Amino acid sequence: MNDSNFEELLKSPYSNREPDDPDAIPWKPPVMAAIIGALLMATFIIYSIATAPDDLTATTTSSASGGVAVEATGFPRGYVAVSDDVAMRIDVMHADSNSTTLFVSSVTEAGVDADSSSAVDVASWTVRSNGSEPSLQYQHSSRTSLGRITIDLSPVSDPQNAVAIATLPGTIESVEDVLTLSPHTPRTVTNHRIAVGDSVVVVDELDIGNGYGSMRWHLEGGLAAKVDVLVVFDGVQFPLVLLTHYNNDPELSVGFRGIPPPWNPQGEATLLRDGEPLSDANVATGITVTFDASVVSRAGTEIEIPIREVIQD
Amino acid sequence: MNGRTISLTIIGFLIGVLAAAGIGVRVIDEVRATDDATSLPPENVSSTTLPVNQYFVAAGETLIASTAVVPKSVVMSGTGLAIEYDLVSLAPVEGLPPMVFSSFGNTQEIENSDLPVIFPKKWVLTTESQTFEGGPAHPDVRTVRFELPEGIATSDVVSIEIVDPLVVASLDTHFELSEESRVATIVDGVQARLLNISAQGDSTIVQIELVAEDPIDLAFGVEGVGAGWRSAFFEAEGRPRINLTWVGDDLPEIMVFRAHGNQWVEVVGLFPVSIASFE
Repeated sequence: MNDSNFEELLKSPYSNREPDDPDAIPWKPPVMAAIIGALLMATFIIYSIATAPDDLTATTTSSASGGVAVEATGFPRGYVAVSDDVAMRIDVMHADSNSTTLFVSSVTEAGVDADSSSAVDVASWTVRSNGSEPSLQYQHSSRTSLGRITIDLSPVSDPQNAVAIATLPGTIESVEDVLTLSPHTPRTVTNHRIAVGDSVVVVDELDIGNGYGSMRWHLEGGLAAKVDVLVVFDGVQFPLVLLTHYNNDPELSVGFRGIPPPWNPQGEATLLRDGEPLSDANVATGITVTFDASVVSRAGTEIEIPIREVIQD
Repeated sequence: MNGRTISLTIIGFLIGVLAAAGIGVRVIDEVRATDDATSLPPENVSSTTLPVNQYFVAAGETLIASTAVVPKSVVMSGTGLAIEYDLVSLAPVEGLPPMVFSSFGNTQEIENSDLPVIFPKKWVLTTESQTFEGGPAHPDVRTVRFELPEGIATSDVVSIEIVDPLVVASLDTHFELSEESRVATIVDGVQARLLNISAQGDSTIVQIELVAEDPIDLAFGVEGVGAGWRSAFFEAEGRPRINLTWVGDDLPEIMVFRAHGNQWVEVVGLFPVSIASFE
C-alpha cells in the first residue's frame, strides 16, 4: 500500500490553511496563560499550607499535633441525642442468667454549658433481643455519680445482639395526697393507695420513726412513677421534718437532698431528718404526711441507645 | 492579538487556575487528615459528624464515659515522667447546687464539676521498644507517674493509653444476713459479714462489717429494709463497721439490708491520651 494514500487521511483539516488564515485558532497564548495561571495558584496554595498553622493559632487553639483545633459541635462518637443538648450511651451492659444491668452515661453537647443543660428523664428502658423484651426493674442514680444511670432489668435472652431502647415520658399526671396522723411514733402506714388518673400508686409501707423512716411503693397501671413524701411533725417547738432520699451517699451532709429520683415502676426511699429530733422538750401534736405522686400514663418517643460493650457472665 | 485570542487567553488562564485549585484542595485535605489522625484518640469524636481533631473541653482530651481527661502538664524529672491532668465532667447538671459533704463534724462544699467520677487507675506508656505502667494511687489524685530507664525522653514516647478505667455508677441493691448465713456478697469484691447481735434496752443492735479487696469500693451506705429498722451509723471513721438499730418485736430471722450509694464499674478498652502539645 502506498503511504501517500494515507497522507490525505492523516492531514489535519486545518493543515491546508495558511498561517494568516483568519479562521486559524491561536493556541499558544491560551496554553501559556493556563500554565501561568496554574503556577500562580500552586504558589498560593503552597504558601497557604506553609503558613496556615502559625496564622490560625493566633486566634484559635493549636491541637496537639499542630493542626487546627476547632471548637467541637455535636456529641462524642457513640452517643445518641435524647434531647436538644444531651446525648446518652450505654458504656457497659452486664448480663447473666439472673439479671441485666445497664450502666449509662450522658453528656452535654459541645459548646453548651453543662450547668444550663438538664439531665434527661427516661421513663422506661428495655433491651430487645431475639424476641424477648425484659422489663425494667429499677433505674437509679446517685448525687455523686453525675450523668450516670444504673438500670436493672430482668434477664435478656441474647445479650450480644441486644438493642437498648429508652422510652421518654409522653403524658405525665400528678397529684398531691395528704395524710394526717396522730403524733405516736414509731408507726407504720401500710397499703396506702393514691389514685393518679387511671393509675394507682400503692405505698406498701411508710415507716415513721423519731427522726428516721423509710418508704416502699409500687405502681399499678401506667408506665412509671415518682413518689416524694414529706413528713412534718406538727406543734413541735423546734421544727422537724423527714425528707425523702432515694439514694443516700453516706458522706452527704444531713438534710442535703440528693437528685430527684428517676421514673420507676417501684421505689424504695430512706427518710432522713432535717431539724431537731422529738424529745421531752420537743413534743409533736400531730404528723402531716404529704405525698407528691407523678405517673407517666402514656409513653413518649422511643430512642435506640448504643451499647459500647457487653459483658456476659 | 485580536479579540478572540484575548478571550481564549483569559479562558486558558482561568482553566489553569481552577485545575491547580482543585488539586490544591485535595492536597490540603490530605495534609489536615494526616494531622488529625495523630492528634486525638478516635474514641473522642464522631467521624460522621465532626472532623477528627475537634474537642469538647480542651485539645488533647480523652473522653471516658461522661468525663474528659485533660492533660495539663508533662514533667520529665530524672527518670520519672509525670503527667498532671484534670477530670472535667460533661454531665448535664442544671439546677443541682454544689455538693455538701459532712464527715464527723466537718462540712465541705464541692462543685459538681470537681467530683471524681472516673478513676483512670492504670496507664501504659509505650516507646519504640518498651512498655511501662503507671497510674494514680487514688481517685482524688490527678497525676500519673512513670519510672523510665535512663536516656528516654518525651520525644521517644510513641503512645500513652489509659487501660480499663473505672467509672462511678449508682449502686442500689439488697442483701441478706442471718445467724446461719453470716456472709453475703454485695458487689464483686465487697462482702458484708454479720459480726454481732446485742440487746440494748428496747432495741437490738446489729453490727456488720464490710470487707473490700480495695478500700475505694466502700462507696455506699447500708440500711435495714422494712419497718422497725432505724438509722445506721458507721462505727468510726475509716472503720467499715456499721451499727444498725432494730426497734420492735423479734428481730427477723433473715435480715434484709439495702446497700446504696456508688460502685466502681470497669470500662474495658484502651483510651489514648495525647501529650504532644507539651513536648
